[in-house]
Amino acid sequence: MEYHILLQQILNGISLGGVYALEAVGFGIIFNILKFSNFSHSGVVAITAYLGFFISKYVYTNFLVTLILTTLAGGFIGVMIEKLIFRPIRLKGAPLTLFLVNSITAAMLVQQFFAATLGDDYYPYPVFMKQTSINLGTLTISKTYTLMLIISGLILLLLTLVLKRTKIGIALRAASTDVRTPSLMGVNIDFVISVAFFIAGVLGGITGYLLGMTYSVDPFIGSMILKGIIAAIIGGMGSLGGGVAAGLLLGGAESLLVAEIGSSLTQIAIYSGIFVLLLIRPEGIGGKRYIIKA
Amino acid sequence: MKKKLFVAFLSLAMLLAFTGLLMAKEEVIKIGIYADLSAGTAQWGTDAVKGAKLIVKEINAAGGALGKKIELVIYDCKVSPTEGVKVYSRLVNEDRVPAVYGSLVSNIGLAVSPVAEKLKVPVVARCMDERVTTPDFKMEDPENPGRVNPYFFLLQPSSYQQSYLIAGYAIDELKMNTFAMLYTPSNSYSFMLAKGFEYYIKKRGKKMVGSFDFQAGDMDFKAQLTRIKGLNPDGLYIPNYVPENANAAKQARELGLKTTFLGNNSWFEPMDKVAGPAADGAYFPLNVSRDDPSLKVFIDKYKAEYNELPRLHSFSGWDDVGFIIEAIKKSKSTAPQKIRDAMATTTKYEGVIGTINIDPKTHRPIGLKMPILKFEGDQIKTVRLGYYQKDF
Repeated sequence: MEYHILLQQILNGISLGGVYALEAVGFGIIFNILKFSNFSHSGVVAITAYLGFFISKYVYTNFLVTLILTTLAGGFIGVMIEKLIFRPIRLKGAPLTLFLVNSITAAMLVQQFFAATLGDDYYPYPVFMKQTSINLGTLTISKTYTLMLIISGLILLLLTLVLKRTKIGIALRAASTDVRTPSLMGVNIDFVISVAFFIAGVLGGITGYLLGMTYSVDPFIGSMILKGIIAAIIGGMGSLGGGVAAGLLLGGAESLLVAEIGSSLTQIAIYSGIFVLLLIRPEGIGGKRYIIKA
Repeated sequence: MKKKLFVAFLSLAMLLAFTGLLMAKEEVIKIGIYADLSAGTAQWGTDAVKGAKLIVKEINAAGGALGKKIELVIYDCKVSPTEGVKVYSRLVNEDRVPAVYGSLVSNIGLAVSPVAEKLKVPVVARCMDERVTTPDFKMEDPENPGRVNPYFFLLQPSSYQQSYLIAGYAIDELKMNTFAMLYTPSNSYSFMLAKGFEYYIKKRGKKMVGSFDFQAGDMDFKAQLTRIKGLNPDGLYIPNYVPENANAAKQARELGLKTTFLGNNSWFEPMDKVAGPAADGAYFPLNVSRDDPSLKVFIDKYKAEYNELPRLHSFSGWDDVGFIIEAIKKSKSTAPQKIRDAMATTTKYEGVIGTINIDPKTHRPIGLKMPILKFEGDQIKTVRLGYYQKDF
């Protein structure tokens, strides 16, 4: 492969991986605290993707305004989902399987709702930027992808700061080790969980907006987070840094392999790779080995 | 005694109601439709149903068929092959329709086709995958299509025919020599178009420099497009559904790819809206062109009814249901078998997409020409009405 093609493929891979990383973190943060796979994250992504379309098309066409509004909406939807479908069963002390079932049901509900109501048309976002790419010699860097990458980076940085430096961040981290102990020590655990869902929702909102803007919206857009979920698994469920690394790795591997060995073989290669990796390191790239004490 | 009287009275009432129901049933001829009215290709399904309703309205106003009114029984099959089989069986077993107009999605056609052969109620559809009407079709040997499914009909050029058309146009009119393509094996329509395209250009002695595929649900094709950019072919064939076509076009332009796009009949509206100016310069075949003066009557009727311009599958719905009614009239019967026999020997059916002669060996129309359209900016222009490619 010529070097500039290789370089371009790496760039493609990083930009794709940036989205996977964003999805992986949004997914992982809930797993971190409540220890279940939150598939309703795809619902947040779908709702905000449509919302972003309607805002930018009919209310105000501006990249940043739409971004902020969809992000906030995403956070709000995250909190609402928690209040409506997870809190009631958590207070009843339901088993984790029920959380999983509820999250899948919510995802399906959103998908079917959009399929039934908005499924018969296409929703391309208005064009925010005339020039869509920057040329550097023979290399082409897509503006939307670069923006996605920068935004993902900034958000993840901000999230790290919040988790490390603020009171609520410490409470979140404490809750991720064990939900019961901090609540015994006077931490308002309902609030902490709401905050976690707000953050996950914010990440989902950004993901939905960026996916919708880049690929146009359809009822199944939420299922695009599947790759992000895979990244979260490789990264070590719940390890946010691991999720980011795995997302970038997955995007890079996909870009390099797809063009060389074809997309079907790439999927086989990637899934076998994941299998081998998890055999060697069951806790994923960034996960910690811990023993659950009785 | 009273009780007995009551029972007798009740049975009489039920008998009356039942005969009434039977009589009411006799007054109409039902035609079944299963179409995609939600999810992925819902716009196509909705358009097809609109076209179908319009022709039924017109035929009913002129007295219907065999002295009876036509009634459509419509179900949504949600772009799902299993759902397609379910609603087709329901139309046959519960609604007792003598003929069905099916979804245009090839994956659904492939699932329904063997069921139709068992239940023996004919289906007319737009599934372009050859294997829907001729199940033993081999990709390497398209000239020998094999046995035909007696109960399935295609009313437009098939995948191979349509890909030959655009490949022929690219070679003879656009003077192209090297090609690449980007398709998905997860959609049999896209897969068969790609295979047909490759077959034709090889037969004509031209070169396929790169054949790239992607998986269902993929929306990022930059890796493949980066490779294609390096190969620099004269033409890039992109035969998928609208969202994939639009994303491929947008990402190719973002990567600075200057190759001319060659499309399939899914490059028509709403491609202009979804891809915008990224589609500029693309050539693609379409069953109809609204610039065709002979279609004006239909377009005006459609506009008057729905207050919008007909899209490709508005024409399909009109033609396909028209074809079914024609077969009912010709066979003078509402028996599925007789209607099927009439369909298999239909020649010179004047549809809005052209004169349809069914080939009894393949149940596909013989030698239909297609207009060639071109994107200029985000506008679609007709560059040729009624094109037909050279044979090999």
